Amino acid sequence: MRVVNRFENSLLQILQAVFGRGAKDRAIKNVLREADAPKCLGRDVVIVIQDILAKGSVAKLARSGGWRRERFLRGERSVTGRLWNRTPSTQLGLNFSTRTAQFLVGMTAFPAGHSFYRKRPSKNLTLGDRWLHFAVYDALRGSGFEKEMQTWPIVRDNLLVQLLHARDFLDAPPKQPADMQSWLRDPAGLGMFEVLQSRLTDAWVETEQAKRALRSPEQLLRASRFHAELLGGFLSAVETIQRRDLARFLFDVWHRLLPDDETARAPWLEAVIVDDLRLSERAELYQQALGTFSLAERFSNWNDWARGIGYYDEEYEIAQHWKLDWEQRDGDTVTTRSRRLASQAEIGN
Amino acid sequence: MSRAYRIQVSESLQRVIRASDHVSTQLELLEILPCERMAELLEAELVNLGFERDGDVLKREQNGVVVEVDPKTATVTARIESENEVTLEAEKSGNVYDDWGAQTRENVEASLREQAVDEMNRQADKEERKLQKELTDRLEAELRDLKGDLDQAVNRVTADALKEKAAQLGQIKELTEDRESGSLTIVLEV
Repeated sequence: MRVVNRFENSLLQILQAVFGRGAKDRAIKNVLREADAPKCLGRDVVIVIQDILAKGSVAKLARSGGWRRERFLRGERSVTGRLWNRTPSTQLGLNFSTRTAQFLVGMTAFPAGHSFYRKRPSKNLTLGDRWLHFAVYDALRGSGFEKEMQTWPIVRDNLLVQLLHARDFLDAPPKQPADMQSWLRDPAGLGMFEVLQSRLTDAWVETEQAKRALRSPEQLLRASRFHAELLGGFLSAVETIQRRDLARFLFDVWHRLLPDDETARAPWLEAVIVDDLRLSERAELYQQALGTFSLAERFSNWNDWARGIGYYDEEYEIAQHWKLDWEQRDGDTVTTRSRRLASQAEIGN
Repeated sequence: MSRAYRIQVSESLQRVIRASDHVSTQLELLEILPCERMAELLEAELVNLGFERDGDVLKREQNGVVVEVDPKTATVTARIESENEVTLEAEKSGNVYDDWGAQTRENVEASLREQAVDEMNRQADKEERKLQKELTDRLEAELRDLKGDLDQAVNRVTADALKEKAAQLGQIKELTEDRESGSLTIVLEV
């Protein structure tokens, strides 16, 4: 039996809602109202917070796709299995710093709109802290509270939020892509990108469809520039660490958006109003707006690289892994269609 | 009792308005022969289409649109620019009263002049947008023809390069070419 005070109870209600174990409405009410924060949290509530974070994070990642038997790279080897079969549990731990506790206390104590939420995120955030910020946005969006959360720097500068909820930021995209290294240098961070592949696919299909429906050229250009920088940066980052397999969700994005050759040939951007734009501005707009499809060129280059690696080369296993991804996802067809669509940005098309 | 006077100011302005537009693209040339040779073949085809060498690029002007092709990089740039001299006029009027001081009357006149200048600036912007739209439409229309010419040039360069490559590989026994459909069949004896 754990004993908590009223403030701590409100904090726990928020945290439980974030990890799907409590009512969201009640949690949002707790965030919106002001409460007097105690000088410190009691031992009992800290134990419960640790418990919710530990069990909630595992459950969320398992539900998001960790349960699937999939094939990913481990070093230079292909490994198949569920997330916990692919990676030793010692490498999947998340560290939560005191900033997590400060964030939870702040959310309970300060009402929405308070300067507490406008603070720039610290560079020393642990992966666990960042994961919690994502989990908060991921859980509480869709309840009318997302507009407020979208103004929080810790949400806007969070890589998972940027990649999985790009559609939410079409009106006002973040100034720059979030720091990728803090996620990609940690085996637990890499594991997150593995399990979130199907969510990444859904997210980018929705984002591209929403972009396609935009009428304002300024808005489309602003959003597309950010997306090109974000996805381009992500591809460069995973290439550097030899984890091209983490970008394979793009195969599925292209496949779902361009299910046949006819779709790839049909005009893609019909809603945007370009009548008042110069051709040079239209060219720039189309080039940026079709940027997600232009990335197929990079995939083709990766495939050329993989085909050029011989049996005795160091990267043989990694190259074989990529070639299998390419084959299983019909890389030739989807990249040809994507490049065909991207060519709509060219002169006279 | 004060008497009202009507002040009328008229301003005129001569302004040169400029507008321009451009687009760039890359020709998709297959690397059948070394780059230098492909560039030579492209240059020859472009000369046939009325392009002339100008430094490192080949240039053609048609209906005010200047098209430049760099055969080494296969980059095409089409640009159009124009300028017009326009005379803008605006008249503004307002009332002043004789019991207002001289300074006030001057302020009213200055304000009317300012309004007239604002109106002329608006007219100039409108003229500039009109000229810009006209140029963009002209460039767009020209691009349709240009695309056809460039596609044709690329097809011919590809065909010529294939013939040359085939001749390097063996003796050409039979060569069938349909320029309209772009099909080319080469029978070789190696």
